[in-house]
Amino acid sequence: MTQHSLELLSPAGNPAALKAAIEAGADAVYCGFADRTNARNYPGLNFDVDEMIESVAYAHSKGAKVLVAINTFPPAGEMKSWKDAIDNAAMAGADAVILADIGVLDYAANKHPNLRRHLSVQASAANPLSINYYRDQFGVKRVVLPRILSVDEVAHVAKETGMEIEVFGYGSVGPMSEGRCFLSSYMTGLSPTSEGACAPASHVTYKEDGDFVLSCLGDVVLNRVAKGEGAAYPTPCKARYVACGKAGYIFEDPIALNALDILSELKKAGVTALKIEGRQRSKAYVAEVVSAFRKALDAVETGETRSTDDLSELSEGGRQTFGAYKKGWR
Amino acid sequence: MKPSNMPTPLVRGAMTVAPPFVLARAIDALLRKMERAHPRLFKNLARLKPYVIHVEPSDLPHRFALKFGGDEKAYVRLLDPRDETPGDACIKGDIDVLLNLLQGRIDGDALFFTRGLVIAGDTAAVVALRNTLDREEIDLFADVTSMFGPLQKPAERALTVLGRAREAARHRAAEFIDSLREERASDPAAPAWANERDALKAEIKTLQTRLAKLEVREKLAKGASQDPAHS
Ligand code: SF4
Repeated sequence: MTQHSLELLSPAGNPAALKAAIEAGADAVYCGFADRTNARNYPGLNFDVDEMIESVAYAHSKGAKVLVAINTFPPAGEMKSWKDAIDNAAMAGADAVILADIGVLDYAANKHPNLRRHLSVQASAANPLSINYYRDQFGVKRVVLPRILSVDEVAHVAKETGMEIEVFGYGSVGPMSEGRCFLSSYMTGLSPTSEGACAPASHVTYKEDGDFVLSCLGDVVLNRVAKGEGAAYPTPCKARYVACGKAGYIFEDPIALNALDILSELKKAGVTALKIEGRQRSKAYVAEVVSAFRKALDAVETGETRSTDDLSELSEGGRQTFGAYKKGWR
Repeated sequence: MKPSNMPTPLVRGAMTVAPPFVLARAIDALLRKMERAHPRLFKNLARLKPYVIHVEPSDLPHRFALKFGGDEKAYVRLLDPRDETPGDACIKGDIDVLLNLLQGRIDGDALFFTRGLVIAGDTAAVVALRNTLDREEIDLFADVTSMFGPLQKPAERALTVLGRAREAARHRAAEFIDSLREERASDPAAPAWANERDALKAEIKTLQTRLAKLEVREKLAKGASQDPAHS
């Protein structure tokens, strides 16, 4: 297995967060345009074309890369926004585009053959057969693996595909097959995941109920959180459901993935890049998480043993897990 | 992220004691200053859908209304305590949390996970505001002190010194109260004194109960004499 330094890839929801990420030590930043072409389509978030051009120039001046996520699935007859996003990313000088839909991949491969293509986690490609198909058909150079594989499985995929492997190092976890979950459609009457937001803010409400807070999506109460109890994102997979008379987190606990303590294992498994989730989070989050990972990655490179920074305060529900990497729940 | 220079306890103190009309004028002046310092922020806020968000610092006696969007200039207004008109959404938290959030020094989601921040109403309004603020590098302390023009540096120093002095005074007062408590706890006479207080409290409670019973009896007796049917 080739030994290389892991690329630290940070989210950026706006140009200020992109600067904060690079200042904190990110090697690359991923971001999206302010429309439904990417999976973090929230009001006030993301980049317009001018901001993208300026941000790419800024990142390059600091020796960092910019990857543009265009990773949602265009509905029938509405390809224009996705084609424009790819053309604009190429024009801005982006280092790569992160794509999921095969039509969008095909357009990018034909129209901008020199623009690097990465396969988004939204494509849900988790085995060598599927990944090799994307590599051979669309010239994909890197795959972002879904958060369902153990470290051994990641190593197997890396070996069998020979591709650049990107995995999640920190952030929110969802239990569903990525890019294919439509749970929130039943609660909102929309198709929010294909519009770039699982729980659109317009359908989320919080209500105080004595010492509790109720979080609702559409008309459905997802959770009732007591004082001092860690709260979860208002998504259907993090809701507390009543089954057999007992309320509990049936799909997924409010918890964040944190791979800070297994970086050398991931490196050994053949991982190329480590991705931090959270384009919807603030520049303060970006700065803190990136700097914690920068220190830990530098320590891995030098072989130094050091205790890693505590990120629990930034974590969903205030709790952290190795997720599928260790599959401890089995 | 740069650490904040803002002497928050001083700000909290000043905002607590300032008469409403003074506070309202200070907010107007700061807003005008911020408009000059952050034109892009105001342009981005104007581009949003029109919203009114009520901001309720849990440790201050004031509430504020922030209006933005709909191609109009954003403004902040001190809310009259009797004003019950609801906003589209409401944000509640300690003033230092709110000021740090405004300056992008703290993560809104992390505050939400720990419930350091409570939001109600139209979440889209709050998300749009938070995301728009986060695009900007805001340093409120610099914005406030730059209102002093050429005297900005001395003003910065004076406010910092004042903030520290206030903190030191608060610290000394807390120490003094602690020492009084310790003295009382170590005072051998204290338990006897406390016992006497507790005994008196119990006696008062018994007397109050007896008095209440007597009053009821008196009432019943009077009622009986007035109502021949019960005789
Ligand atoms: S419900 Fe959960 S898994 Fe499904 S799209 Fe939403 S966040 Fe993802």
